[in-house]
Amino acid sequence: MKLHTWSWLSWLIAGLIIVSTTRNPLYLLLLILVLFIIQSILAKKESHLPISTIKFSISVLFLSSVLNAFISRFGETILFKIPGHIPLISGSVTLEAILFGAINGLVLIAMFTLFTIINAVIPVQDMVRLIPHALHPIAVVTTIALTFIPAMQQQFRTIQDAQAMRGQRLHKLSDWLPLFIPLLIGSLERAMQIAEAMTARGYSVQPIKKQFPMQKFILPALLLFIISGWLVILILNKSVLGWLLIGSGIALLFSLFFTSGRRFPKTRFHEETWKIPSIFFLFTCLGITIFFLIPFPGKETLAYNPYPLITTPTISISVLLAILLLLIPTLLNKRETHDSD
Amino acid sequence: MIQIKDLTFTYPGSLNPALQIQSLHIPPGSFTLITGRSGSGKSTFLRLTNALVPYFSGGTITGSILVNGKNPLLVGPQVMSRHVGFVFQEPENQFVVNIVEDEIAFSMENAAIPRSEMQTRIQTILEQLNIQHLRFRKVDSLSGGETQRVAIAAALVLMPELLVLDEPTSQLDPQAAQEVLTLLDQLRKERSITILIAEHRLERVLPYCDHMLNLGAGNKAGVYGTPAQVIVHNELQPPIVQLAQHFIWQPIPLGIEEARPFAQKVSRPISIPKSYPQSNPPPILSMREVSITYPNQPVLSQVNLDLFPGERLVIMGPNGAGKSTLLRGLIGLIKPSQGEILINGQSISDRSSADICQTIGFLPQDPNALLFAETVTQELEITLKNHNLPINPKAIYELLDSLFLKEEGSSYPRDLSTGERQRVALGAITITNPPILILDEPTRGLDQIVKHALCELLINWNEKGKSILLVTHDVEFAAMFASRVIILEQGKIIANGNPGQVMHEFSRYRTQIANLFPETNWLTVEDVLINH
Amino acid sequence: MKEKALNALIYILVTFLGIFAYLYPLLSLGSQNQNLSTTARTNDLPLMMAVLLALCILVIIFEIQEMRLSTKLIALLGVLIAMNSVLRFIDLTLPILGGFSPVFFLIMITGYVFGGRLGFLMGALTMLISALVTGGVGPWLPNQMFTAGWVGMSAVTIRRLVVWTNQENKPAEIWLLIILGVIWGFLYGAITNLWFWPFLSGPGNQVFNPGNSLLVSLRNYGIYYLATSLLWDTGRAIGNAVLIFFFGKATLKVLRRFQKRFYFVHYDSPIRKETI
Repeated sequence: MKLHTWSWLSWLIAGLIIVSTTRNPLYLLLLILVLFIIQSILAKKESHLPISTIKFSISVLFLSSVLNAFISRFGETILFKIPGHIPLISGSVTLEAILFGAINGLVLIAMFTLFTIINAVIPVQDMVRLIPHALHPIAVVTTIALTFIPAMQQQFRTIQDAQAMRGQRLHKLSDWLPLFIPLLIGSLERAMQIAEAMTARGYSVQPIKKQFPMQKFILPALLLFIISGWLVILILNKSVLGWLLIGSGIALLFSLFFTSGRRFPKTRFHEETWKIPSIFFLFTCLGITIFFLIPFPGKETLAYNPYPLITTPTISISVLLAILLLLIPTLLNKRETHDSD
Repeated sequence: MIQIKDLTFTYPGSLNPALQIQSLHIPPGSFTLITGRSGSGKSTFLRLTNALVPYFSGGTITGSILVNGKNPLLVGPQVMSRHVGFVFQEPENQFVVNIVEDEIAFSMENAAIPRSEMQTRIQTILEQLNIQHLRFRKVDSLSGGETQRVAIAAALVLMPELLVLDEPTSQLDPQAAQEVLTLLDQLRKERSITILIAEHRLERVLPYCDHMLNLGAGNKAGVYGTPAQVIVHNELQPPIVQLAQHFIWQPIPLGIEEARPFAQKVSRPISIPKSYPQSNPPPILSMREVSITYPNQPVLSQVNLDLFPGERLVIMGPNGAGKSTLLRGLIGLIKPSQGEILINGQSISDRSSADICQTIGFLPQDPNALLFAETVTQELEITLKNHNLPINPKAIYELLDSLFLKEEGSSYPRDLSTGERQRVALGAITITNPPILILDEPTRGLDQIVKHALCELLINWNEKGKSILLVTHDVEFAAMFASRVIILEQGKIIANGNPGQVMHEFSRYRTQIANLFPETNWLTVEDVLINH
Repeated sequence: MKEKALNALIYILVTFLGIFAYLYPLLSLGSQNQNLSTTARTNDLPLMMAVLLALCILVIIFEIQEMRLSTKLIALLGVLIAMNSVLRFIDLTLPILGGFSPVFFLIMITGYVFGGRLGFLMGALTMLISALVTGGVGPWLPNQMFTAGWVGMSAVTIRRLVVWTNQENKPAEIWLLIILGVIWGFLYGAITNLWFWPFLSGPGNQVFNPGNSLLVSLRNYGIYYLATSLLWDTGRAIGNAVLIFFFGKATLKVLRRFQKRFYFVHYDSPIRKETI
């Protein structure tokens, strides 16, 4: 069964919240394990083989550890010293710095895998449908481009054959000109044809209602809100006030989108339906997200810092369980394959 | 349905009006065929009905037009889209979304039709056009006929009162074309819509239409009336009409059935079959037991084919029969999985396509794929450079002259008309003077006059020694041109021989004359007239 | 006039926000006030950067859409982007140099011919669609979109320069574009790699460096850049230059031929003429 796109997005958010709130390597390792399991169950055979993910993960882990060892010279457990006065190279290499780098690597791997899964489970068409109504023209540009990629590839092969027919051979870079120029001209001519067909079928970017005059000032105003909120958090360290400002900026943006979306009187043919598993899934993910945002017993175990002297990270059962909850889609998926048998 | 008075339209930057109509009234529920040469304003006229002209094209317009009581000039294309369904030439180039049902829904989304109603309307239109099975297909996987049906569905889903089609059958094989026209006829009766159709292939549409508009005839003001009234104004008429005028049949028959009673009276002398060279010299180009397989299915199986020097060989067959694959095999673009291909008895298996094409000039379906230079002359020079041959201005001039392009030597190829562009492409592939010429669907998008000119040019070249192999759907063109015909179906040659015999034997490939005189071997009007 | 000032304000604010989003991982802003327990939150830096940049992109796209897009330009963009995506996958049968990618060529040329706004859309949406097609959607995407958008938008400065010095259709035009291509070849890598920077050296480190400053961060970033991207980006810079050198002139010619057709807007009221 196909889970609702928004359920998957809530899953993504839950995953991102976990990644961004903890630096505890044990939690991160568990999360990565969970993600690998999901990936190997859900991923289609032909693409996204977990092997490539593992290769990628190992190289990221290695790179981030080594790089940090050279950038950071802190920590008390000195492994070895590189003698001399060569800038950036000489100095002591510490275990703490390597571990810190490795944790960075884990965070990066977890985030990367989260998105790999999302890319695999949400069809491209559904992603395009996430573009807000207010940006309808952009959604149309995207749709046209996606529709035309296969046609364009076909066209390219046709041109390649046609040029070969008059003795054209590809030796130098400039030999590509006879392929590129007809493709470009053909594409531009096609763009005119598509635009004409769209017009004939009632497409128009001219909104029915005019923008009301205040609307023009909303964009700069909301930007000001966001910037000042950001500065307040970072410089004055007043996060409540800052988030309030950023929040109101974003709220302004959404209200602007809402009002201008209504200026294009268009309907959408496709609407995903909410089925019980999707709703269940959505609420679980929201639960995970909220759990990681509020104070709870054992929250202190999320933080971990190897500096100045390496320590053993502590863990809490509730966090482990919350991370394991991310496995839900694989359960829903499994049950479905049984049903269809 | 459409009322026009004193209308003149001029494109931006142009001095002469593209369209001038004094007075025209097209009644509701009619089926009107619009004819006229390329550039006579057919497309412009069609686009006036839904305000694409002038809203999309620009330009200046005077006079008045009413479509279904609405003034398109006043309300613009968005409003007109609910009253006029428009099917463009080459609809496959104009799909916005890549799934059939979404593509059909596109205009409903623009018209803000509620979702529940969209569902029912799509269901209804798919059933009516009998294409439910295509609903979830990708648009680029459709065949030509299917594409055309989907485009018609997309145009009709807003329930317009007028359906406009710009050359809807020019890309289709005869059978698919027939099906589309039958569908239109049925739609007109069931939904009582008015249909406007522009088409070069008159013989196809004439039996269905009840009105005709010839733009460009009658001192360029256009002639409108019943087909029998208007057809006499056409420069080139379908074979039956030509016969009717020659034998003075009244009223002028437009289709086979109407012409049959008249044809009974025409005497049929025992005619001698068209001459067909019996003593064959060795073939200049041949395929021996060639099979070609694509990853999923075999396309050609054990084909034997010869092209003899001085021949005009035409290959016909439905879409998907493997014609394009056969041509691609002949010029080395695809390697056969079995068998071999010989030029002058030499296998081509170790020659590159570029090398083969010094011997074989190949004109692809879409001549635009070839053209990229700044001028026509340069276009020919590039081919010579590709082959490392010397550039001989005199030879170039002579070739352009024989292609009726000597005035256009310094024009930008892309600005020329379809027919001219095709001749530039023809020049670009024949400047190396290859003894063999292969053409893939050369009549697509050409009007009757240009088509005849092309036929004459090719026959002229053939008489000067070129052997020509040509693939086409166009039976009338094949009948005019061929000295031998091969029919290819499902990857196999099922018939090979004299056009008069082969094209009579297989009813799908009969010309109008062949249909009218089934017991003869006549194919063209000339065949009939020679015997009288 | 007021309109212009307002648009300028929007662009200034967005640029400020964008630069800020890019640079603050390098700044040690706020870290003075942080203590050990808050360093756990440093992972959210790249995510916040992604959100900020996504907001910037939304604002700019929204502004452009209100200003400029017609049906013709929508179709034009759709088709050019499709073409760019196809070019990306074509096996060039040429030695591929590191980060060489043919997409920047059309992005720059589009910005140059059709203006900065369309250039921005071309850049940003090319990245979006490539990501959709290749399954590369991720928090790095806003960064790529924004940077590629700048590539397209910046081409308009060359346009101004060329018009101002009267160099249209002269060799200087191509040379200026080549310079732009080389600069962006390196800059694109430097900016997009900033995204990974906090992962590789989170500001958590900086807490322990009392004298840490922008300079040290920049130095560290320098190492990172040299180690990971310099060679890679050289390939991109050379690729851009070579493509513009060989294809620039012909492409400009084609686009200019079409320019009028795409920019034609009707509203030369046919009704008035009808009544005359």
